[in-house]
Amino acid sequence: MKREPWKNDVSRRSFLRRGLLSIGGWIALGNASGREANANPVERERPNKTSDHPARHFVKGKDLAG
Amino acid sequence: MSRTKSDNWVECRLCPKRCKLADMERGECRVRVNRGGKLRTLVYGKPCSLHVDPVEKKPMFHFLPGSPIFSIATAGCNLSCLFCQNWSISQSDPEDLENHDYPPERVIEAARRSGCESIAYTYTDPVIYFEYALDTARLARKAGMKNVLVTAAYIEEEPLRELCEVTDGANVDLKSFDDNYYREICNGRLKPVLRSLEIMHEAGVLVEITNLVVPTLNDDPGMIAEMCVWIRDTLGAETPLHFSRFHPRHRLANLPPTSKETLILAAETALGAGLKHVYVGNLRDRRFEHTYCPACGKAVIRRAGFRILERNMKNGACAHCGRALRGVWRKE
Repeated sequence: MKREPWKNDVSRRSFLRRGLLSIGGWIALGNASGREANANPVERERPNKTSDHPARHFVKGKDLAG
Repeated sequence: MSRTKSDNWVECRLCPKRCKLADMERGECRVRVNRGGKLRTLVYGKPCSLHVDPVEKKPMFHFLPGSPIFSIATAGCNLSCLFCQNWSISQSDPEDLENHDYPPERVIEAARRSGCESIAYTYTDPVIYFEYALDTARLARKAGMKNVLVTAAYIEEEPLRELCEVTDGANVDLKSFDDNYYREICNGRLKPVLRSLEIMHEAGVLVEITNLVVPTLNDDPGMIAEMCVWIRDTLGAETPLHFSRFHPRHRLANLPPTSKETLILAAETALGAGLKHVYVGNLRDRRFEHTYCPACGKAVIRRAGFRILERNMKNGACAHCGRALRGVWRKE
């Protein structure tokens, strides 16, 4: 017989929790895969530990091919 | 690809890799990031390592022997050698390490307080913290200190020439004389390194070379001979050359340490090619620990590891015969 978890309170809570968790996971994964191609995600940066200093010897790359 | 649609690409021209970076992307070195079309460095004034070492540890044997040298490094590296001894910092992102807040002024102050008259940019590779190393080296020069680069010299010509203006000595890690080795083991190329060596030499920087001899990978005597001949003909027979013993580390833990016989053979090959100052590192062998006068053959500096046992030099010349030796020496 097909299970109907929402029929009692405990199962309903569990069902909702699982649902919320999977929606949360989907959002997290969706965000990750939708991020700009980036081998080293800057989200992990802690600004107090790294500098943000201008670097030299680079060119703007509007005309560069991928 | 969506990346090609971005208007904010930059191409980093610091090293021959010339990383092309999309907005918010980092270079292979891990420490240079494109932010909105402008390249930023994440390690300026943020060294992960600060230490006072004997200059012989760099190794620099012809540079103020027996002196302490204030040594700094930041996270990251533009190469990724499989044998790296310092992989825990060279192959880490800066935010994954405990970094100190040491702007250039503070480095000079700390070096002076430690009784050092020179600063080494070392452990990882100063190429990747170019702006920090350059500013610190300029301040050091103004303060009457000397600068030493310990580097793989995988850098473009323009930034290298800037660094050379304030560099007194360099130990360049010439990892092999085989381009395939550079490609497969180090993730780099040989030719730019040879060009850097020429530029440093032309600029008057005291160049010492280290060659890490890795069993089965770069220990071919024929290739070592070829390398030595190139050094002799391009940089001069008095260029100090250090053969260093490999210890199994990082991703080459499967290989044995280099045998004493292999290192001695390499050193004898170098002497046979006409090089005058050949040393063997990470291995105690008295023959290749001391500095000998190229004219009279007598020992001018005797060492035991990093310690100086005896000096027979006066104002940069052999005390026995008066022949001047290539190096940065203390005036007496």
